[in-house]
Amino acid sequence: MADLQDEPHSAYAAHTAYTADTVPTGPGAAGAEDAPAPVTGSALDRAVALLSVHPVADGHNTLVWTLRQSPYHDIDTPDSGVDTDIPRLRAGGVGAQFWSLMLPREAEAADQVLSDTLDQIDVALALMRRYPDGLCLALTADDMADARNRGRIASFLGPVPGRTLTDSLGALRAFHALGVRILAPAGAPWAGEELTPFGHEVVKEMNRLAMLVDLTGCTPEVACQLAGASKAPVIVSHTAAAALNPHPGNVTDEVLLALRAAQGLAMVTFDTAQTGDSLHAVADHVEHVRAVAGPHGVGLGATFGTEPGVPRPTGLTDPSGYPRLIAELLDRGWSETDLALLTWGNAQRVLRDAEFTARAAQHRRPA
Amino acid sequence: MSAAQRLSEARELLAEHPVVDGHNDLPWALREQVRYDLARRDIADDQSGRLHTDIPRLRAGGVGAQFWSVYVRSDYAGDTAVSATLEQIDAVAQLIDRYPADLVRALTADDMEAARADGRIASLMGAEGGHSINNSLATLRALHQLGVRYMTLTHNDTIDWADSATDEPRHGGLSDFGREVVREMNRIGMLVDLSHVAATTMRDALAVSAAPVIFSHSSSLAVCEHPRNIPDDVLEQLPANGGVAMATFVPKFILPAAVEWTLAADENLRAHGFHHLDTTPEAMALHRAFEAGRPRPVATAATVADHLDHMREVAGVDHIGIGGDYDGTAFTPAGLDDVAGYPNLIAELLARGWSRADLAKLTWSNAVRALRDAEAVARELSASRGPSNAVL
Repeated sequence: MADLQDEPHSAYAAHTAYTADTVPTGPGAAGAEDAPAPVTGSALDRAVALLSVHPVADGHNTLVWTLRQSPYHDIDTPDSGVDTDIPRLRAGGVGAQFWSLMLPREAEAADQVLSDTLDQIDVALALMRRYPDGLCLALTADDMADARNRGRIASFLGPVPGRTLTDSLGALRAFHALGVRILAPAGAPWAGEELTPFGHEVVKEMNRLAMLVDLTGCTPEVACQLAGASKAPVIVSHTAAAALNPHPGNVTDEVLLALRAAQGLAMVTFDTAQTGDSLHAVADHVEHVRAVAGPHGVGLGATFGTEPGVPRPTGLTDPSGYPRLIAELLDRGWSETDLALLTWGNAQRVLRDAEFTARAAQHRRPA
Repeated sequence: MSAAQRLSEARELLAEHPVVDGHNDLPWALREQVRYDLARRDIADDQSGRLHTDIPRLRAGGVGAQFWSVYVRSDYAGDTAVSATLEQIDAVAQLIDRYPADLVRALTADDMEAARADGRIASLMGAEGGHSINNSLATLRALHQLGVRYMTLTHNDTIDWADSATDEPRHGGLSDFGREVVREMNRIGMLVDLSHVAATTMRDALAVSAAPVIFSHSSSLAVCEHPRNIPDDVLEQLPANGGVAMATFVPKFILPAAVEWTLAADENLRAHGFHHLDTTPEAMALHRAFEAGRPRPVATAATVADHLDHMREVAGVDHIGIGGDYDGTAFTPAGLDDVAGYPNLIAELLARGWSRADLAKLTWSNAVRALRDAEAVARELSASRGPSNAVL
């Protein structure tokens, strides 16, 4: 386990006061290492203060695809044409973003998934070159901390579709060399009914390269197989709890328990079809995931990055809404410790664990 | 000077001005022979009989920089071509990692000079055929980012935007998108390689390219009539362009009698169900059986020197180089049998009165200069325009 030297704990503690009679009660009280919640300020003020120290590391944003369809948006200014821009990411306290490079199924022409994915990578890298004051390519957990210290939004590339890997790992290593750090096996022939021997080889090589496996969209069986096969923690970059809403994109408690066992991470989406259409509903899913996967297994993967018209929970219509969700969780009695894990700590720890696993596996020759 | 003295002088010259070879297909040979199981073709040891290329012979040949071809078959298309190209790039990376005392990754002209100073073989990559980018400029940029420093616009087949020398023309040279590919290659600093393309494509590319072009492995059409060679009017354009034509050693392109013989031998291979470029042991055995019945005309270092003499006369001494195509051709000239052979070529040119200064340009400095100039053009262009998003 990482020694998180780069975690600043002092600033928030200095900002607020603690008293013994603010020990949290209610649904969130079962969290790990609960510390007393602060008494001063409104919940929203406290949420903003907390996010300034423990920003959001969001697991899923589809802006890259949106900009490929419609490149005429300047994300340096709040732009009504798309829900994600740098001012609103900053207002929401976002410190790290996984930029999805997935292709909508209907866009996948049979014989150019790979070159389309390289195109997505190209657009994402161009975005970082265009907004160097806002976005900063991140390849490691250290980069994530560095970007935060420099006031940039750490930008991770991925996931890319596992379908791009057919019978060799050459493309996987090319993705890694190009900066991609997450791959989603769903839809790949090697992760359909079950994880095939080639699928196992993909996971091993991802472990060796410190790339995260994103279980989003996998069947519960394959998700559990992947979580078991991976020596590094796996993630579900955008999902919600099937126990509360049996949407096909939501993870079952069985998968959440598998994640808990594997020190993985389920990142809760703000997609109303998966969570329901209120901020409360999203908070309910976050709490359920924490209850089952544990406080070390829950994160956020809102799935912003679209043009207007996509239904959003009230109060969570764009990335500036995160403080409201954090305020709600504070009201439900979540401790600072658990919130810091939810927003930042878990994502950083998963990346760091993947890097440790990779270093341990480096003696393995490329497959 | 005796032959032995000339050879000794050639070796001495190569120690100082080693060969930059424009094209070597070792990666494809490793893919075909052992599916990239590098342990089964350990090039630290002698691989004679299996490969034209290994480190001891590269050293003996005085090679200081190699463009490793990340060629994939011309009949691959779509994602299959891109994926195979990424595998080839990956194989070169593994090769460099495996032999760090002898090979070193090179991305720039400075890297090439550093490798020479360091006594290691600068390892660059070249893609062979626009099919490798699947009509996607983002894929072209990805190849560049992964280290590829030239792309041959076509291989043996005409593609959607460029005519090949050995296929039916469809565009009269380059299409509009093809010209945009050349401009984008100029902008990112990837050399435009005009081997394999139709003469019309060569002329179109020279008209649009702001940077030096190369011919990674092509010789003179005036010396040997074969579509893979370069017409004089194109060679004459190289001084203005700054490019380099790297003479190849492939007998069936450079020796007129071998051109004839090959037509018959290829027909024989196809009749037995092989692709005519197949270099697997089975195909090679068939080739040898054919050869037993009809002796194969043998090219020599003198054949290559005939081309270089002519190319030097037409293009000028600043615009010629060497691109052997080892491990990409079934047969090689006598005396240039494998990558250890370059000193024999240099000795032949010494015998023909080439000066040391001219030879140093031929072996090393012309190719390094072309890459350096392409880098300068790319810096200038990328400061004034962003990535091209053109689509076919």
